[in-house]
Amino acid sequence: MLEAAITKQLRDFTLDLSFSVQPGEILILMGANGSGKSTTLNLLAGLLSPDTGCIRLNGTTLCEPRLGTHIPIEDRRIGYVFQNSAVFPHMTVEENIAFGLRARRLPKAEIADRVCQMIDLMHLSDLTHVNAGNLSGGQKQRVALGRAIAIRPSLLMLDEPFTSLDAESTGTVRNLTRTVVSTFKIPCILVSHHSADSREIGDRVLQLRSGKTVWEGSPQNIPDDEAVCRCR
Amino acid sequence: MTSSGRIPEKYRRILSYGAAGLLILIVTLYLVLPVIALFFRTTPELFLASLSDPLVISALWLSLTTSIISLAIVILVGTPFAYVHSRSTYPGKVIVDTLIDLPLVLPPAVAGFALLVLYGRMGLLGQYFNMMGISIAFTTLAVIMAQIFVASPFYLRQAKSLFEQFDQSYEHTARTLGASKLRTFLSITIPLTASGLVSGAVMTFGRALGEFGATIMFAGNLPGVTQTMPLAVYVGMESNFNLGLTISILLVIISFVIMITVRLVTRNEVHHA
Repeated sequence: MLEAAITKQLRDFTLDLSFSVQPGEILILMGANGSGKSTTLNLLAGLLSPDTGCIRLNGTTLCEPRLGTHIPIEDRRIGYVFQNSAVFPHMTVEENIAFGLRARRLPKAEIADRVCQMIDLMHLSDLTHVNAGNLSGGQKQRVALGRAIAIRPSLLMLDEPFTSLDAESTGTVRNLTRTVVSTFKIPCILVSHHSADSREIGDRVLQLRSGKTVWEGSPQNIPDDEAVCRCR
Repeated sequence: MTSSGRIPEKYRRILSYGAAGLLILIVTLYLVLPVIALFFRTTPELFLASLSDPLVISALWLSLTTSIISLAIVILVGTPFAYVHSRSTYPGKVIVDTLIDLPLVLPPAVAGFALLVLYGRMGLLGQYFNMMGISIAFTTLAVIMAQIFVASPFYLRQAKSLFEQFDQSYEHTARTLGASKLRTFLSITIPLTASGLVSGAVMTFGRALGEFGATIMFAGNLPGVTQTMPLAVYVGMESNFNLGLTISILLVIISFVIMITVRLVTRNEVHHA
């Protein structure tokens, strides 16, 4: 389970959030551009440090500035999928998925097993040896998801993963995301602008505005005025 | 405006194409003719015979070894410098940015003189090196230092700009996957910026190979010790024209290879910014 209560002074406002995510739950972070969604993910990943507060993952404190605790990014076991997928274009699909496992110095046999498992799970069997730079947007996002899950993360975070995908790829990646979150029973945070994403795979929605939670609830009950704001 | 209005469209087009063609021809010929002239002043037999001259061999050997060493130092020190510089904010960063470009606009003779003032036997630092029995000026080391001083900005500028424009989500992903900063740098940042870095390195090598002004001021012109190819051309022009011609042609060939390499490398460049 992820528990976070953090503050961070940003240029235009103070981000002040408190939330938790249960294993197997998908929390959708919604809000206008610049409301603090991606910053929140970066704080959880360790790419940024909060000013105050505490981040706990499965009972382990990842960060607590008051006590000087700050677990390095590479030791947090957080799978992070970026909007642009950030697949390494100079590596094959297989090498991309194996990257985190090699970095963690897992035994070769285990690396091979996990890579095979991820390639099957993400339906990438035909693309194993293809250079990742030559893949379509949807294929790249599947590689990125498989790569993030391969390290057996304790938390999965996706930052607007469907933005540049067509309807078919969006559906595929949404389903795969739901599958891996349920299969591996990990908490998941997904940043999205679209209420359709929330309704399709979200369990709970957190609406942010200027770094604060302005609404929290079920994806089916997202207030209309918020939806209107987003459409604008 | 009124006169152009009277010229039929067909002739106007011919005139404009003709003017453009003439302009391209004049500029190209101006830049290429002197180089072509070099090849007309010698014969293949004479060129090949001069190649075995000890002056040519020692100048070629010295130029290649010092340029390679200079390039290696620039890459080894310049790459981490450019990375740290582009990724951090510190007081005086703009000043550092300007200062590292200084050798690009500084006349090479001034650069050589400045190096001599600093590292010469009576120089600001040189006097202390001299007390320790280390002399820098007028040695092969001085050739390398002059080359680094003059040529390094080509690499530093390129590397800095590449790292500044590089999409950091690749590095962030690698870090969250468990890679250390060093592993991320070596296995993600460097490969994804490699083509740009190689083109910067090739330009640096070319500039180091052609260095003349700073070298003659700071390192002198001692055959086998500090007499690089450009300096040997200078000597050849005064004493043995054919030798000067041979070395010049060699430098033209090397420069041409460098140019082709840069074009090939940058043609395959993939932007990850």
